[in-house]
Amino acid sequence: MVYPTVKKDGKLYYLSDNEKLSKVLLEIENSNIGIIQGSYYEKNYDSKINSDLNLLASYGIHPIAFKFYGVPYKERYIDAAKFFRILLGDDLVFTKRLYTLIYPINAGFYNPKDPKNVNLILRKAKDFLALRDAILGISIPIYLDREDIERLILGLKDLGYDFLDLLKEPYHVENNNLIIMNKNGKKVVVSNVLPYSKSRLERFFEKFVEYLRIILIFVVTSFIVIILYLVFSRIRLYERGKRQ
Amino acid sequence: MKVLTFWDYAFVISMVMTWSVLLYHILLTYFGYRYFLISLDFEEDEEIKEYPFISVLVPAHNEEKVIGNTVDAIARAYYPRDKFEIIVINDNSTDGTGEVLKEKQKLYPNLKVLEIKPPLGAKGKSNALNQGLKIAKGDYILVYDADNTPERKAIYNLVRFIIKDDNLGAVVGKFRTRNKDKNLLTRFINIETLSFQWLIQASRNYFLGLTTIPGTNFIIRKDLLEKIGGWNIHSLTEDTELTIRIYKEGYRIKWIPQAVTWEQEPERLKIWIKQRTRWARGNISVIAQYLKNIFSLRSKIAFDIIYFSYIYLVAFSAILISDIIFGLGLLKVIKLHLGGPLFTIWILAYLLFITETFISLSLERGEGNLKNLLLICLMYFTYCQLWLFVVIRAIYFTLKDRITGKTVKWYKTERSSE
Repeated sequence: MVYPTVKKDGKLYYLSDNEKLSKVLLEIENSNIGIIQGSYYEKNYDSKINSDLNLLASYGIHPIAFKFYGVPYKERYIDAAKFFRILLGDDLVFTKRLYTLIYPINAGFYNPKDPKNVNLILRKAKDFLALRDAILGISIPIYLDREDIERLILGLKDLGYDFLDLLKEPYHVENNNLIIMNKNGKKVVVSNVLPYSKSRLERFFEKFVEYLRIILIFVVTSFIVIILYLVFSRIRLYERGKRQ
Repeated sequence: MKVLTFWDYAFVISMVMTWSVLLYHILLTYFGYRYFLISLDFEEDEEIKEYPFISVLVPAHNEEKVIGNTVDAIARAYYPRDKFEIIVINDNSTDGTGEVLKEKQKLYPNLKVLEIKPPLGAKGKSNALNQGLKIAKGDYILVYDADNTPERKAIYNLVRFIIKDDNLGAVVGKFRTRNKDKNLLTRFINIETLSFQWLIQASRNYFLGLTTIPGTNFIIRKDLLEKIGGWNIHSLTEDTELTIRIYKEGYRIKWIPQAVTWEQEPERLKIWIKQRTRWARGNISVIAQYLKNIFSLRSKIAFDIIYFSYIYLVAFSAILISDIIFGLGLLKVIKLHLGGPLFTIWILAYLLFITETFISLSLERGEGNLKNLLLICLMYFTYCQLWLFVVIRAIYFTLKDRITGKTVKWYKTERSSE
């Protein structure tokens, strides 16, 4: 799951601020792994989702679903449903409302600070078995311990759960510039979004800094050589000066 | 989409402006080093065949603490006694300067004391020098500040160079810090003066054939000085102003490291700020005066004036802007969207400052040591930042004077001790 823009300490950080992350995400996308978009709540939530969607698309990243941050109000569902068919929220059960599919994140999220966390999730998963055709959703952060995830997966399988691949679900994402959809099990993207390109100033600055770094490394090294020459031949040099 | 803000643009502009100066300074450092190697071969063997008569001017205003030593040092110079006169211009002193000089006159017959009182005196250093010039008999005029201790061969070396080249209007020697071990401030000043002389004076001498007269320890042709009307009494930095007028006459000025004088530098921060503010104000005024007529100057001088105006008006503004951006960034008030290895650049810039400065110290015997290396590391964050404050202060006073129409008066740097 990706938040293309993040607000931290009142400042807005863009995906483009982290070039490495955007490259990693593109690699994930190209490896045929489904990416879910997330957006923090703002006043104009629908336009925020829309601009984030365009931002991701400009990097070649095409999300297939949308996840809310925490428990959303009813209006948030309406905003997100304008663009995404598949939504993920902190609901208790899977819901189908008209065209929209809402998958629940009902077993909470994995907390690496709590060693008993996996047990807690498995207990919740067991409780949900009381429902017929239960769909269980867990939010797993990237820093999940390898042993824990193995225990979690095997534990869920032991309970009789199967895993659901969102890429095989009938996802459909659409805005004015973009359509992402599952057509006969294949991801189809129709996009008018221009690829992200750096502004002239950014390009100039990057070059400037790049050349400056090379020049400075050369100059500082040369100056160190001069200093060493002066240090090791100072007696000879001073004597030469004194001789005059 | 990411939107670049005003701060991004300001940052790029400040970076480009600052680095354009720093890259030029890289060249100057190398030229300073080259000049050092050349200067080792300046021949001193050839004795002066015919010693010209010279006049050494020493302006003094309330200098009882230091004037005795200065006169002693000049009087004992390696130069025929009958070939030079020392003229101390006692400019309206209210302390014991006059008494000290009377005692010294008993020892040195070639010492003349010119007492000037208002309305003739108390008008600053330039005026005092002009008064001294009127009674000077020498073909060449040497100037020493009242707190100087020239080395024995300083005068000899200055004369040696000027007499053998008719194109030289003046020859400038090197000044060293006498009280460098007094405290941290004087240690920083010692590093600064050496860096200035090797990286700015020597290098410009090598590269452009230009040097700035520093106000002390220099020799100038008397006829040239009279032709250009002596010192400008309205200038706060009479030396810089005099330099340009000499160049305008078509003469050159040479910097030689063999003529050394030791001078006392400010030991207290308050005095240092006052002195440096005067220098900065004076230099800004000179820049403003000549920048208007930049096209009438010879290309090398014009280049030099542009360089100094760039330093004072553009580079310092750029550093100020980048400091503001850095501060606001630390406080998380603003965030730049421009990326790049900026921390690496900063580290390299810091290393550049250290290596440049240390090269200039390594050119002086006994100065290229570990202690000074550590001081340079510290200097970047302390002493250098103070200069920013000084320049802002100088610009503020200059603008204030322009607006109020106030005339600037030369003021002497307070002496700390004997």
